[in-house]
Amino acid sequence: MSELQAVTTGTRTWACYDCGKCTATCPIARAGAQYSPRRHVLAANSGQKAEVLEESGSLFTCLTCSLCDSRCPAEVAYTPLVQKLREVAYKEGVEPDCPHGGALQSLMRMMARGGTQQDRMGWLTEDMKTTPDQGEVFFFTGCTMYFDTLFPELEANTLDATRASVQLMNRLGITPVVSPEERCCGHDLLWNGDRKGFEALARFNVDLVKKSGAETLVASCAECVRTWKLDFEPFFEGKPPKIVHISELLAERLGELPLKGNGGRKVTFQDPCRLGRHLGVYDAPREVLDALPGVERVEMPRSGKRAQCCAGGTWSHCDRYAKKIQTERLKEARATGADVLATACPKCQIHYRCAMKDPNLGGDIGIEMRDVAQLALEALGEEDTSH
Amino acid sequence: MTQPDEYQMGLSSRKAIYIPFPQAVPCSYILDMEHCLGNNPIACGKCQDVCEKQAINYDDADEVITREVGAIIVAIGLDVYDPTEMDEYGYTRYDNVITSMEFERLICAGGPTAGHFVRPGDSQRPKRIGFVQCVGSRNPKIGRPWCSNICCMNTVKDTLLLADHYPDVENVVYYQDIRAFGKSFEDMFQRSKEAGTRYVRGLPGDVEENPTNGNLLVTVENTTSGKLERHELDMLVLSVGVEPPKDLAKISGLLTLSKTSDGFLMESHPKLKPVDAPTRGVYFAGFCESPKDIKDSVCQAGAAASRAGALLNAGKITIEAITSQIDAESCTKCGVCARVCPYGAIQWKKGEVAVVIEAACAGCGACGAACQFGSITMRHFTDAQLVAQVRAIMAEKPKEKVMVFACNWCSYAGGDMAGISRIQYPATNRVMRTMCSARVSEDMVLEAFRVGAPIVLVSGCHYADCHYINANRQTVQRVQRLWNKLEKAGVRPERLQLEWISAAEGQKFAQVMKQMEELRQTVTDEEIAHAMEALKPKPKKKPKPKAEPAAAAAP
Amino acid sequence: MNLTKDKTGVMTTARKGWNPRLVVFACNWCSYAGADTAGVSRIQHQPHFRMIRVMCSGRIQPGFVLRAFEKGADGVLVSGCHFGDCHYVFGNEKAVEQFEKTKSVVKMLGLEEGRLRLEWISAAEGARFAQVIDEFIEQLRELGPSPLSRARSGDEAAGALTPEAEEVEARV
Repeated sequence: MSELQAVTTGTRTWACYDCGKCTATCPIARAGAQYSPRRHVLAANSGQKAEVLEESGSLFTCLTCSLCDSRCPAEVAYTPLVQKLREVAYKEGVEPDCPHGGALQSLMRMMARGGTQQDRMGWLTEDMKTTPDQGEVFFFTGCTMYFDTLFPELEANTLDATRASVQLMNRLGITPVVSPEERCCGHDLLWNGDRKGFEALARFNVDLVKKSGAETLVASCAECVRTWKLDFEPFFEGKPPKIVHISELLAERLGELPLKGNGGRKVTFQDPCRLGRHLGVYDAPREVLDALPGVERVEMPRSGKRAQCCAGGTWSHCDRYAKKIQTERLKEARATGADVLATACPKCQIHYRCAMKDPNLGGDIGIEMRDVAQLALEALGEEDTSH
Repeated sequence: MTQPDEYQMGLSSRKAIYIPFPQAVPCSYILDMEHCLGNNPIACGKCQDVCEKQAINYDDADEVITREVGAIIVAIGLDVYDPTEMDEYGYTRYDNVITSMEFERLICAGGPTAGHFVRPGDSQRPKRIGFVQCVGSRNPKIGRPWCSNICCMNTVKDTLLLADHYPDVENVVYYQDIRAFGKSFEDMFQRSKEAGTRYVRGLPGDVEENPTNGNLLVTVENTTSGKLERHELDMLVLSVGVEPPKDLAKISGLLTLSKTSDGFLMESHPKLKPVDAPTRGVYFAGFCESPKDIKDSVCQAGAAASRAGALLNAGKITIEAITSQIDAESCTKCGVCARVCPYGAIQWKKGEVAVVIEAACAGCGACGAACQFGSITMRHFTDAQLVAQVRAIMAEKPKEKVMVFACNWCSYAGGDMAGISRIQYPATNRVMRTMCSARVSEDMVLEAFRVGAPIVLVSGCHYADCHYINANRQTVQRVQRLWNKLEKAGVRPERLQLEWISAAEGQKFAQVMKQMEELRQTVTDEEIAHAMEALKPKPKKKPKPKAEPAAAAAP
Repeated sequence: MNLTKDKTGVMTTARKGWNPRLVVFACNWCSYAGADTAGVSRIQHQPHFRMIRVMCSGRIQPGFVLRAFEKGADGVLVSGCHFGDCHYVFGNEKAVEQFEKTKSVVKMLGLEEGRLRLEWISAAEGARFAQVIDEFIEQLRELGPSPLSRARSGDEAAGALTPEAEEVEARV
């Protein structure tokens, strides 16, 4: 079976009806870009690598948000197909545009190679109880410290969610393992087609967590959780730990903590693609919000399974269509009357705040943003977590 | 007292006393007792007051009528897909998105608007009308993989109706394929295009509404040109697919009818017996067997009627000689036999003895093998006969033989096929024929091991192709239970093999026999001896003696 | 310092087998011209660097520096006009903003601080350019090869890389 055949069999690409519903659903195509998921399916079905490469110019445009997957009548698994096609293209030397000068990809590959001792624990404060190597619960930090350093002007402060997660776990009596040896989960390398880079990171991280003896792994980034749960699976020998997003842990246990009112606030929730459509977790973050006194949850018209991606696009591509998608979404959030746009992924925070920086639009699309973990911590009434 | 009129798809209302639709048979009024205010002089009773013929009886109740019939024709029709769950099209969120069923009512002269085609949002006549095909059809994602047959031509017809009524109308049809197989359907399709209908090959993504005027913005990838198009329409019609009627499960349970994988009723043979159910005496007509249009339904109805007529007028019919016989004395009334019968040929009610309807019995033997209490005799294939065969086969040098149970219709015929094809294979197998693999009971297999068989193979029709509808399901369950039993007794489970070999698969038969021989050579004398000992029969389950009422009082 | 003469007769501190690899991002109007000045003035300095010219030092975002380190650079120098002299008025102020980010990330990643520098060198400062290069190269010699470069173990041929890391690097 040729490489492409294996790809199309595994992703049901052969079942495609060629109906074009995917393209008509795709946020990028609808924003006006010349992008058609259907064309990539056709190229894959041709069985010719040359055809795949001919279309590869737009291959990295896909946001991998899975909205098309959720609509395809023939059950073509488009998102996994894109990931595999990107690997094929990458091997032939096709590279994504890599916005931000390729900084993120460089960082990840340097972590994949290893050899340096990272200095990544600076975000921990004295009041936080963590242990560096052994424990029942492993808190996988992710790269928020790098994000905040690279994008300070966005004031995304993605580390606030990381800190809030640890503090909440402490309040629940959990002293998580936070390892200085941790490396990037490699999510973006995987989705950029760099299979080898991803595997190096996967093996290292799986090994690290295995050595810690942890039975549960918690992360506050939706992309890390997806990667651990779905993409790291082949690297586990034996039983993997239980992998949850912080909102799932909180949904289960927030009731144990004394929650105070936050003042009356209307909050609307942005389902991260990786948490929602990729993992099927829609309720947990909403349960957390509903548990917070004084918080009134309002929904955007396109929420849950229909939620619109933040157009972060795995750091492979960014253009005016991404901006258009972000702008429309922020307007949708504002239209609900919400005071706060809550989310559960640092990528969403970064990309919406970037859009909000636009001096021409700022007034129409500015809205306060918080991670669900931050809101939960604030409801303990002890501190304001925004720095 | 008004209710939404079901026939008018809820677009208008009816009273509690009403004629369902103009062509109703009989064309008389019925009372919707759920919503009728009743005879109470304080509440209502007006209809009874004005009825000259005094035909209204509020106390009329459902009557259960018992009839003995020789044939049943199942023509229970269809249900239609509710596209509310297909949220991207905005049905029920947007006023001017309707289903094809609602369309029919709006354009019909007998409909709620007397045929003046207006849109629900503002009762204005729409000029730009879109039709989305395959809503709820050809969609494995929502569990509806089939093509609903009628929607393409229905839409073609709708476009012609509109073009005929309103020459200025602009129709656009969003499709995947236009299926116009029937007589003069292609001509109709061409006429629709001639009348100005635009056919765009592509299914729309999210539909948006313009809140100021209720118009709909449809985004679609025109797959022919590869361009993403945006159309503003006054109205959108969702061409909804069909599905098996919701109460099909009840009927199929009553008549022991099987379903095909899509949920429609299964015919006896897809080509040669298209209107017969596998259960004799039951016939199908119309949608419940598979989606089809009026012409084909009428054809099928005629066929079903003539098949039923042939049966009823036959005078004499030939029934199966190999039938099941239940001993009423020893029957423990457990009902297992009735459950496994693919034909519903065993009548059983809780607490009663099971009774075989011989005319309906096809002789598969599933019941015989399932009965734990030895109460069932399969004529011509009794337990004693079959076990005797096993013993006879294994009487001499059993360890050099592979015991094969083969079903009559497929595996045994497959063996024949191998033979006439002169395919060479090891001669160590000994084949014993039963009508169905489900006839092979636990005891027969264990007996084979008890008399020293190294390997036992149970072979039948491929899983979905059982001659007796689905009796081989019992085979699978039985063999799985046997594997557990063997393992517990310390016997290697792979000494019992299960294969599906069809009548055409002579090659496969030979190959399997080769594999069995190879397996046989791995079985040691100790293993055989151990099995002979470990699988010795346990005392047979004796049914509890029937309790004598006087016994309790006896001292 | 171990001074020896190489084949051209130039005094160098070249160690047998390994020399640092320095990447220099120089702005077109000042620093690149400054390097030119060093050249035409025949000022001798360490040759172990490669220059990438950009129009303004403000162009240098963390990604470029990280890419250089990813590819095995032992050191990176960002150089631009002195404050007040930027050809684009305040481009070098942007350079500082970007450099702060770069510095933090490089530190977080675990590379030694001494591997990254920001200098202001004007078009006339040929001698200063040579001096900066010499100093930086010497510092890099002391630091040794970058942990991310192949020559980590001191031997150009060997590499302390896992098979996966080899593959990763091959792609890069």
